[in-house]
Amino acid sequence: MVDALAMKAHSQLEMREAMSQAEAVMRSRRHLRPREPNDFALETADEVLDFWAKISRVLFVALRAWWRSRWSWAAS
Amino acid sequence: MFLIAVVSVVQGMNRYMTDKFAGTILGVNTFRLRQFPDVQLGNVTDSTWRVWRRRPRVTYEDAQAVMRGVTIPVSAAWESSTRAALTAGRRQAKDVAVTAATELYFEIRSLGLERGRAFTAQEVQAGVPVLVLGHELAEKLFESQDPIGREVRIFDLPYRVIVLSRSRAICSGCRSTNSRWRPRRPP
Repeated sequence: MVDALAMKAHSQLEMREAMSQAEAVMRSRRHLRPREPNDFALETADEVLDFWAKISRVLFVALRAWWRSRWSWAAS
Repeated sequence: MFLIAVVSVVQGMNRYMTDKFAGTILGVNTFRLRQFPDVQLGNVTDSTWRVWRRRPRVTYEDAQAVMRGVTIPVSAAWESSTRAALTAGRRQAKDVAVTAATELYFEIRSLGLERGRAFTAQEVQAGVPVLVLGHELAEKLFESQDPIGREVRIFDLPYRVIVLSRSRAICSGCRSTNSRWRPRRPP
């Protein structure tokens, strides 16, 4: 058994292509029908980065609101 | 002025997350085939966990088939982890995360090697028991002595330290009585 097989491509585009080839191989080996979901995981850093993007957006908006409230308080 | 500082800080954090954090955890332009996701964001319900746990594990044969089936040029490495006690002479480090891996693991995960060298493909093929030791572990096991070339025992089997890394223990030619962790040869 292996915990993970990692594959690194030269670009994001090639990684996506390699991922779909790996998915096809695994689905064929597991005899999964077209409507059946994958019984394995193919993970990338995208989920982590998407999650971070949401946090950074909230952080930026919150800091900007805080700065504006401070500025308007100082002006008054 | 303050807004510029805020933008710079957020942009700096973005760069760090993209290049270092996400890149080190999963690798840049890298995907991993696993039984279930290693990194879970948000709430994972008990029923989802149960479904994941029931999935078949990834075998060497799966890994071999995928490596044969992917026609895009990629670097590939497999890994398998466990926790074990590391012993050097009379000193011991308990409950250490130990990863068995193939030679391209370091390149894919962008792991920095402080001193020494990484595994070679020949060592991995032959199952030569060599070990990459994290800096803190090396200090714990060998104090001020140079650990490179010395012996560390894992599951009572001897491994030769070939390099110091900034991370945990990573070995080639790993084997144990633990049936979950016996990746001696690459797929």
